[in-house]
Amino acid sequence: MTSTLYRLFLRDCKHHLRKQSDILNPLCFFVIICSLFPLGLSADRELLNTIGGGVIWVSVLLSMMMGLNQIFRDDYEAGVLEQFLFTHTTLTQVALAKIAAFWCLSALPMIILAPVMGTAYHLNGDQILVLMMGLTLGTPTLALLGSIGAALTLNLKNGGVLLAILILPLFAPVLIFGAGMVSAVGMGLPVNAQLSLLGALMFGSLSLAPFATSFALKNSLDY
Amino acid sequence: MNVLLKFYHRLGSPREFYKISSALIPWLGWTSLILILLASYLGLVVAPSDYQQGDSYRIIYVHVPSAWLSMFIYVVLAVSAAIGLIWRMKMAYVIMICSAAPGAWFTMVALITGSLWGKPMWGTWWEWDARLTSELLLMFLYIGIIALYNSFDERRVAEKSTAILAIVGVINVPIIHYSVEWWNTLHQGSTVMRADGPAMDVRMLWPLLIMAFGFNLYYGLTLMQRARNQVLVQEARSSWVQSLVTEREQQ
Amino acid sequence: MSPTIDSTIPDLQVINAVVTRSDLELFEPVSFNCTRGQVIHMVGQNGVGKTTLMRSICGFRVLHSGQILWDNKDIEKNKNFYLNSAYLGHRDAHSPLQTAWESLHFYQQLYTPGANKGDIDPLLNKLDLLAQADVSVDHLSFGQKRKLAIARLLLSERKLWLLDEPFSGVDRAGRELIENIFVQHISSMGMIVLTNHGRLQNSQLLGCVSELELFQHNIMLKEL
Repeated sequence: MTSTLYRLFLRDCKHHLRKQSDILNPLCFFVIICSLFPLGLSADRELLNTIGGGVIWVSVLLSMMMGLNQIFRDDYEAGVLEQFLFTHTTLTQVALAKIAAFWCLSALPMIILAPVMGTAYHLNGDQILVLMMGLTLGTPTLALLGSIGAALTLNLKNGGVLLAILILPLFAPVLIFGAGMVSAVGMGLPVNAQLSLLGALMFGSLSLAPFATSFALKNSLDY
Repeated sequence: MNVLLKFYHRLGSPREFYKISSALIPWLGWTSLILILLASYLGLVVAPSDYQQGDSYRIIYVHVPSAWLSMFIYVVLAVSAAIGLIWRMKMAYVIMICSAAPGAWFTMVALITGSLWGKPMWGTWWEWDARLTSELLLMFLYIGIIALYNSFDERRVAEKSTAILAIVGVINVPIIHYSVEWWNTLHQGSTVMRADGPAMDVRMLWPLLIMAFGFNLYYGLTLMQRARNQVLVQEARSSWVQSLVTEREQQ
Repeated sequence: MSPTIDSTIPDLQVINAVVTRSDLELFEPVSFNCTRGQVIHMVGQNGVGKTTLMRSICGFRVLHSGQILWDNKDIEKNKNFYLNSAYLGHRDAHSPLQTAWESLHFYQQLYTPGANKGDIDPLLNKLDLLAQADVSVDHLSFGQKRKLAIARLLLSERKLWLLDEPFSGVDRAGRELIENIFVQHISSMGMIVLTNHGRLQNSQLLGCVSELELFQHNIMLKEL
């Protein structure tokens, strides 16, 4: 069982690496959105420090959503997804492997880039640390919740915008706790509560989302 | 119990639902109309003015019932989604999808009246108040459900997909609600004062409850009518709908 | 973890299957049985619903009414059915991001975990694809992709093959090759349900074929 999951995970990672636009485009998108905000507002240090956490979080949200649209699509369009029904592998395992691979190659680079962006927004060391911790705990939830939306819109021709409508409202709690942490630390407040809440959200979605996703995947084969 | 079970099974069949709803609709319609009129009279005429807000508080007689219903309907939607998925009951999906639009409308009304109320109270049309913000997010959830349902050609697929989304949504609604409330205390804190006061005058409270009940019945009414239309469309090729049509033609 | 093969002959039964698209019934109710050593050839005009029926037999689509049984049990969530059958649809089911060899290796591990990698090259050779082993699936021609899909069927070692237009894009030589593979499959007590425009040519194969014609459903719409 585990080895199947691992093999699927490796296969998906390999595919992401072969189709590098999958990783690079959302990452560039992330950097570009982050860079546009100061242009639209002002370069005022204090302002940037205040909004920095929120802006970086929103950029992560949007770039992850872009990548999520693609997470099942290649295998679905090639007809690979339906073949899993004829094997010992369950669609839940497939979904988990894909979400994990997606997280490693899409969210992880953004977490690594976050300090760079944070510095550009004049966040202090504590804030950057908390930002990265928040992203580490929060992005799996985003990937898990997003995978449900991606599976639901899989057999729609223009699912991209619909995906945004479906999942962005669900991302709100993660955004609130994640960005809230950065501002709280800026004000010298403790962030234990937010960290635990982000962790709880992650485990909650980890235990429920894969089943919803696999059900939605099965449903998408009905055409 | 047996009677209830039978009733449940009868409601589960589109044809029986159509029959039962025909009998229910006038009752729902008249009762809700009477209750709403009564509550309007009590709320607008009998209830005293608020010592702080004057007469502007009276918008709660529309705002609060709409907000309650917007959440209640989402629960109805999710429960019927679950029934549809688990017991594969056709009518449950009908109830689910026919609840989405009324739910969205009540959310819209709650948002608009909330914003109207905000103008005299806070001096602004929109305040990022916790309740208004979570109502806004609820609106997005409704929009998502309606958009998802409408983007499929095949109803069978649309129903299941929408049901999954509704269930995922209902798990998230309380989380969203509490996170927004928490966010609100962090960012706004004491700047926003709610003037509901600790205890509401009974003469203010009664109209509110009656109005809420009237709104509920009105939702029942629209739900029935929407569901009847949906049933007719879905069952257009069945013999009972066809005979219904020929009957109408003969009259 | 390989599927158990018991002595009783599991066979596929389709009983009064009706499928709908946007609430319209596509064809008249269909019933057939498929037993070992038999080929069911679905025929019918374009758009009558052959692919739709095939997808229903795979359990992807929900039947409007009727039943599909494997070994007298409904195929829904029936692992025994899924582990005894292999499906080839319009989509070849090879990821364009893999090479031909990788794709087969991937399926081999899914079908029989721990199977010998060395079995793949002979299989590719059997379908004249050995030269393309390390070519990305994306760069294969239509016919080559189709043949690769047939290789996957062989790899699966499943009894029942569900094939939707297996010859599309395949040249004459490839077609003969594939028909020969079908003959081998049938003679080793396999079963095939297939849709195909054109007739099957192999005389040995024709001996086992039962044709199943789908007739368009008579829509009687009353004037509304």
